[in-house]
Amino acid sequence: MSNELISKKDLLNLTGISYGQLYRWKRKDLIPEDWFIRKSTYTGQETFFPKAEILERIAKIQTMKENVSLDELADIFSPGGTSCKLNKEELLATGLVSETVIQYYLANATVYQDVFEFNNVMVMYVLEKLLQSGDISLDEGKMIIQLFQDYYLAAQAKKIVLIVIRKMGISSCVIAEKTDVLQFESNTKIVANVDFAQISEELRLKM
Amino acid sequence: MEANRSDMIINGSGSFGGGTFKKVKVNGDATIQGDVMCDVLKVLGIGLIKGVTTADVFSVWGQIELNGTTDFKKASILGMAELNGNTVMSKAKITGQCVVNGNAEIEENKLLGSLEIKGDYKGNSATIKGELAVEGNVEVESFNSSGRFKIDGLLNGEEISINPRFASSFAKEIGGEKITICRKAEISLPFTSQGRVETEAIEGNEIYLEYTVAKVVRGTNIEIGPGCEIDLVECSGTYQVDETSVVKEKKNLGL
Repeated sequence: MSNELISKKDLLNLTGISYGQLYRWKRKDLIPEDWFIRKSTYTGQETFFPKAEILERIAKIQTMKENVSLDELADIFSPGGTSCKLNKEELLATGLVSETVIQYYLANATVYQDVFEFNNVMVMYVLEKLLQSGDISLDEGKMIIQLFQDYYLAAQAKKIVLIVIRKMGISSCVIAEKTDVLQFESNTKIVANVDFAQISEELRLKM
Repeated sequence: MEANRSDMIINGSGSFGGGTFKKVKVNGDATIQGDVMCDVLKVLGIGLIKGVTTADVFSVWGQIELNGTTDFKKASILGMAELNGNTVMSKAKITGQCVVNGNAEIEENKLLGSLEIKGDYKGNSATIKGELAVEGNVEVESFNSSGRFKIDGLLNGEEISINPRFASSFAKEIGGEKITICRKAEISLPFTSQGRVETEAIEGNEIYLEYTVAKVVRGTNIEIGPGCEIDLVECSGTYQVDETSVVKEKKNLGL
């Protein structure tokens, strides 16, 4: 992810949206508050946005708003739980998570439920990705499940990232807020860095 | 709610537990230790509720302090209410004084008295005839003020209409689709101070301003009426300025 910023004026010029639209989307929580970065310039205060993220978001809103209402869009973009509930068959039918991962999740999650909530699906979806790509081992997967069992509810409302690290063959994982600055020891290898706001958006679009 | 709920009417002074009631009426001086859930909460005396308060109708003639989060369908405050947690109200009419030490979500707000919010304020419509002070941001669809307001953050609304008839108002930034600041005197009263609006930036599609002091005004169609002092106007559509106003610099924005 690049850290390049774009000013509000350039953004409106580039995308062709108006101030009214931008403020409306902000009110509907389509654009998160922490993307509005205020900086003082020689002309006074100006607002900047993270360029790559805001352009992607605006393109998505513009293509989707034809078919979906703004309120429904807000649901897609907001991180954290919706009222989605799926049982195993329904989940398999979506094709997002393989049966192996579901079995594995059920075997390791201490609280067994017949229906999966959005958060469970999200963790499974992440595991699926990480295991498929070979980034993490099954043991590390267990660790992640455990971590989310214990802490995810508390962290739910916030924009969080999951980071898996390894040093000299010993691995560990953390949940952190996205805006936090984390400093690791020099020989630490960051195996995976998963942004849950992004995952949640991705999932909601696919479900 | 269950059918076998009773009323709680407090006439003397004392301390009570919480619970689920049909009607809670405080005539004396009451401290309620737990959560309260009821159809009607009416305060004529002095009250303190330490838990979460949920009521369909909340009406205050006396004085009340609520320490937990609060949820009301209809709130009417003629006395004084201090809400120490976040609050959600569908409809509010504040003639007295209300302080929210948290965030407020008020769907429809008629403010004749004074409302102070330490956090953010969200809602659908706000009609301000009294005094509003918000330390965070304000996000409403329609904002209509002929009173006084002080907003330390952004005032964001689809339609913002401000009439600085008596008092001066301040918002750090104002943004929306249609922004109108217009001093209309329905009746001309002598000895009333003539108010202004002060802000750092105004951004919108349709902007009409009178008696406004701003550093930057940006938008599509901008009309500057009498009595304005603006450092910079950036405009991409039509532009007009009244001769009694001062605009230091004007830039065209090509869209």
